[in-house]
Amino acid sequence: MSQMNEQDARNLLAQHREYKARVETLYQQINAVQSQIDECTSALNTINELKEINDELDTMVPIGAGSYLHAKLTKPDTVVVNIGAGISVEKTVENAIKTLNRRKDDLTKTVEQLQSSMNQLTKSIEEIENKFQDYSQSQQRQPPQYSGQ
Amino acid sequence: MNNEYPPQVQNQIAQLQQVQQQAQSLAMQKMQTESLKKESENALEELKELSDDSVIYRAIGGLQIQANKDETIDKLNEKIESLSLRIQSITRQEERVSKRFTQLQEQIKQSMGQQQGQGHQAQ
Repeated sequence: MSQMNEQDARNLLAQHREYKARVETLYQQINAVQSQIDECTSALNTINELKEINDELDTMVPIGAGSYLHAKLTKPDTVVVNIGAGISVEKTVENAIKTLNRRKDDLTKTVEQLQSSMNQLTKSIEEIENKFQDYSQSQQRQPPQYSGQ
Repeated sequence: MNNEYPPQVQNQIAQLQQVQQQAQSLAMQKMQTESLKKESENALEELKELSDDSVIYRAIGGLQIQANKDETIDKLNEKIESLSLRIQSITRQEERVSKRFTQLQEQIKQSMGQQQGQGHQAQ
């Protein structure tokens, strides 16, 4: 370790910065995917609450700014589910639950993969920091070198 | 730190940083376009598995308009094709930027080498 020269130290510092930036990006990605999982959970809770109701149901539609319009759910036995690319499909309650659960499982796997990458990077960052600590200790032990100017 | 270098090298370093930013921006655009393409491909797969009488909606602005299955499949195929072309175009731009990056790196190395050579001669 004491063989690390100044150039190696600079390279390690650059690598450390890059890894830190990647951890930050991964952290943001995990948060984004986690919020999609939360949305799925919220939709599943709503569907499960409504699935026993087959008749028309009085409800309110949010129009923003905490304001609502009165509305009736005319088809509480069907759910329109977004399948991506601006396309939505009408599904039965059971199929909508299946789709949302599958999506939630896929997103959970994605979070696990991102988490694992983040753990590996965090480990590499710790290793670099340890190398730096050793390097800085070895530099302190060395007597100061004068250039003779 | 760049102020220690002659103006020519400083200029080359500034260009290198600019090219690096271009490369990052292109990589980001490519990632976003690939993700849109993947999303469209997944939607297409799901649509193909649906029965012909399925009720489908397509988002137009803030509205959801009821749409025909075959027509929606055609539109998705067009979208995927257009996204593929966009990805190809970004890849070509990336290649050009990468070449320019290597070229500038070489120029900077040469300029630095010359500067060091002159420094040694002066001593």
